[in-house]
Amino acid sequence: MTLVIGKKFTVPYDPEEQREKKAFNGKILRVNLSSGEMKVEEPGEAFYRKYIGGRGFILHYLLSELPAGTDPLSPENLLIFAAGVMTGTTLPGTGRHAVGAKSPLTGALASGETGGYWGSELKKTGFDAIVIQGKAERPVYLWIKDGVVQIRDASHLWGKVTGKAEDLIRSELGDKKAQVALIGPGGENQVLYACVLNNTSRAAGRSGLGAVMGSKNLKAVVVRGSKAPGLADKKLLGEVTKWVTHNYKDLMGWAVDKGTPGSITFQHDTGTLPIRNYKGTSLDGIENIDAEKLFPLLLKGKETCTACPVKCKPVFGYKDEKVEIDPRYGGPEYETLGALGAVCSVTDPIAVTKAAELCEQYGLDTISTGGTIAFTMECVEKGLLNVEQGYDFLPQFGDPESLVKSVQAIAMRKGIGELMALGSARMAETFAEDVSDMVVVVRGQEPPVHDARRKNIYGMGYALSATGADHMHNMDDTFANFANSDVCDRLKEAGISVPLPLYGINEEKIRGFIIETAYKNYLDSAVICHFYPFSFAHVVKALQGAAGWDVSQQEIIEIGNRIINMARLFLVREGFTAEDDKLPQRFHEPHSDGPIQGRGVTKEELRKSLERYYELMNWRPDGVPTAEVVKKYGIEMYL
Amino acid sequence: MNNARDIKVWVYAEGALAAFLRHQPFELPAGINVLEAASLMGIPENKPFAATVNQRAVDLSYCLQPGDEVHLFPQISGGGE
Repeated sequence: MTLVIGKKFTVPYDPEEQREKKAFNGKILRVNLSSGEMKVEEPGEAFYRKYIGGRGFILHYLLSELPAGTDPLSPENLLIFAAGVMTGTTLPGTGRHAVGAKSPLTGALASGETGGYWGSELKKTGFDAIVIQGKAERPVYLWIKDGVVQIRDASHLWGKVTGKAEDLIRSELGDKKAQVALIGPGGENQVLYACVLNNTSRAAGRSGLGAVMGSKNLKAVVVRGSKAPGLADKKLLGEVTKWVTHNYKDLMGWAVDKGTPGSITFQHDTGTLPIRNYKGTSLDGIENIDAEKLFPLLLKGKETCTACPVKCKPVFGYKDEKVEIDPRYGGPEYETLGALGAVCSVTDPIAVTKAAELCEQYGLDTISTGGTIAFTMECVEKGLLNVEQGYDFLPQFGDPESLVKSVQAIAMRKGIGELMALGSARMAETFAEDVSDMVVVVRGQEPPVHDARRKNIYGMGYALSATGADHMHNMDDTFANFANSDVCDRLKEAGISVPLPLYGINEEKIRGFIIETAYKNYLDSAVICHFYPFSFAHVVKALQGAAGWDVSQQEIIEIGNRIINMARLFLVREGFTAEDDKLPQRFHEPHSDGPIQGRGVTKEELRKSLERYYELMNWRPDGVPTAEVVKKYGIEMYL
Repeated sequence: MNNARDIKVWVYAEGALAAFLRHQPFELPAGINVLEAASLMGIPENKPFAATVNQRAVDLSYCLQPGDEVHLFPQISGGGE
């Protein structure tokens, strides 16, 4: 079979089908870009209850169909777009979807979640997920409208930045409301940490999903539907929605007010925010990239996601004779401001925001971009890189201009950008000198901007994460230290004594971590926003209302633990061992001054904690899930 | 908790928490910790915060000492790009 551009594949709509009665469609679209073959799978309700969506679906397909050891940038890799069971309902926080594959950056799992409107639009087309394999012979995009699927030519879109490409797609389809998930030049050029964007300001950002999409010659996946999901029990889901709408202004005031950019100064003052490639302890001018200063200078509005009243996403724009920042690319969040700003010691608000905007235009993960630039800056500072080696420029700590130029160089793989496009770990391997002590990565991925010396069990979460260092499916020590936080409320529901100590890792903290990460992995499978301070009782009721299942808190925790164990099985079969559950050297080197002076855990303390975690998870001492636990979660078919 | 008002501390609250603090210095019972002090100052129990004392990030169970300078920071979730 050969790929035929333009041929349509139609799935007839049946008014009696699943989606009339429940919040999921029961249909998963399969597309082979090599052959052009398309088909639909209907895996049945038990499948949905077992895996929920998002990361659960992603791991199921990777474990079932992707041979171990597959080159992530080969046609054989799978690229999976997956909504959750509740995506597209009226419950705030459910307007999200996940994207997954085997990561070209880490060789482990890539599984990113993103907000906006794409996920809920996918559900309206009649599909819950799309599994893409193969490689198109030339650039294409996928157009899905109400059960009709078409592979279309994208030769004219290749090389275009995300905003321009989105405009062209909507124009040629004659549909201004078509939702577009796409890559920019960064993904086309297979920068190992390129991302997949939607709404040009939201990203399934981490681990190189954009490079996988680029390797398939797939520019975009465009969705448009007209039939919103049904609900099993409208009243039940409505009770949770009502609780949200009555309480969000009080409980999520920070999000309504300034959003995550409002925390930069606080995180700096409490030692959370890493500075100067994790060597610094304070940064003059940090307030210039906090919302307090950014908003008066740049704020043009606020954005939100499907059904969300919070509007936490600031939109920034700017124009003078030298710089223009286009508001269509949104605005940098905390992670982006920290990675491109503090980690690079740049506090110029225009430069940091422009660098973030360029990451959205070119389709680059802002966290790995910032981390890699900072590593390069330290190499320059130490004389390992210099312009006499033939580079037209090199980035330097604190230099706004070289920060912005670096983003462009990475996306286009020009000059020093060719090396930086590899990420800091692989870039370090190109030096004759041993620079491993300067590389701040976990499982090959640059960490988010929460210093593990400040947040110790968060660091253990970095070390364990199948996606490399991750701030989402984790437990934040600072929230666990506040008895009335949503984290502590959930831990209390699960029988854990709270609050937990801020520093160090002890038995109760590990037990709490197991509960909280199960919850977070459930959220990432249902693809629900982490900002909403839901209790277990809320998510149980919401799932009952959406799907009609008689689920319990215990089942939610079991689903989360099933996903964690599946992710672990994926790591094991890809050759990772317990020795890879580790942190970079810098997280074990306490600062000699500043807010977290002397803090952090030693390698030995971390190892001891990990061994206890393995034991509590019923894993073997070498970190491999036992046959007993694999059977308990019904995942023995993946062995 | 000892009710004798025998220590003085300086407490500064940032961002949305600032509205809850009006007077300096605060006279507080000896043996009080950061979390209990914040509660006495009227900071709502559902507003998570982090704290530094004398510019060091501390556990909220830290027992305040005379003359301590306390900063309270509203907690904000990270995430997103």
